[in-house]
Amino acid sequence: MPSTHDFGFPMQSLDWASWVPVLDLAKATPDEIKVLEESHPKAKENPYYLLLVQEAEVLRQRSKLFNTIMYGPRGASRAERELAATAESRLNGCPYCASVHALRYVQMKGDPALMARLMEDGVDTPMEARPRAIVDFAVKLAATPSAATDADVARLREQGLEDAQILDIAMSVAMFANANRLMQTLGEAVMPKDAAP
Amino acid sequence: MRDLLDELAGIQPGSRLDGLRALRPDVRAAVAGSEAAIFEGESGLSAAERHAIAQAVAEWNNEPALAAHHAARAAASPRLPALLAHAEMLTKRPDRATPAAVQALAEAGLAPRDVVMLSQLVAHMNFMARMLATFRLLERA
Repeated sequence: MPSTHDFGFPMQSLDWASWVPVLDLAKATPDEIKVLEESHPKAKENPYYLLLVQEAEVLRQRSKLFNTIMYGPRGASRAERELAATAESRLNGCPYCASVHALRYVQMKGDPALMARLMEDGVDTPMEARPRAIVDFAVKLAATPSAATDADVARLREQGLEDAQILDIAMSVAMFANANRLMQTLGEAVMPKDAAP
Repeated sequence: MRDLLDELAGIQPGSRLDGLRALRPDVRAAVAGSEAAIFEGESGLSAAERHAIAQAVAEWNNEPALAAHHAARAAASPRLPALLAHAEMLTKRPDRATPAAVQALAEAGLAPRDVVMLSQLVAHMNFMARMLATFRLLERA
């Protein structure tokens, strides 16, 4: 049976193609334009946002949620929020999501070798204790919410995370339970035309 | 501002969890805004269908309080089984998605906008389930 894992998880920028007709930007209402601008700097050229903006108010609220969870100040570092998001995307099999957030992690934290292994080998690839505790928690909460336990929270605290930071990591996982499902089921990752073979 | 998660998780004003949530007030505002947009917005999917799908996704995620919240306003329709089958794939095996699955929704009479609403609804419920599981963990621990 085909799976979205079959594409593989290349660590490079990918394109995304919609399976559902998207909005023609020339016909967008002023409110739709505003929602696109609030959602992402390049949303007006991106088929994913041109698809979702057909339910404009739903996208507006979701973008507000996404942006505060992933980019809000203080709390868990942005790199560790990206680590949780990447691990979940790799687990669920969303190559587009995984590549975007793996590259962002490397940009913020360095350690391209860890991300390359996570993409190639999956979430069980060896890593140091702190990223390991974050990835293990993320993977359990992603797969079956009730599978994450007190022991997983205890390990995160042992690694020095405060509860506000643990909540941030968990919210990143909750957000990507949402994001993976949209990206994976409304379209698919495609190699950019100008990418090297 | 309080949201549905506060209500269902029993987060009391002034409690430790209330304090943690207060660090990101936009989350509460956007959860409340998402609930309104998804369940009260005008759509080709009836409100009763949307609540029925939400109830099912909550049940698949073992979140009885979340399921009960939606059960009160849920009702069946002739095409509900097709919508639920899609919601189940999205929830349990999103890697099994295919263009044919989306095409089947179009053949069941869903406009592109309705497909977006269905997907956003299921994605949102999977978000909500993980938030509730997290609050139980942080409350206990």
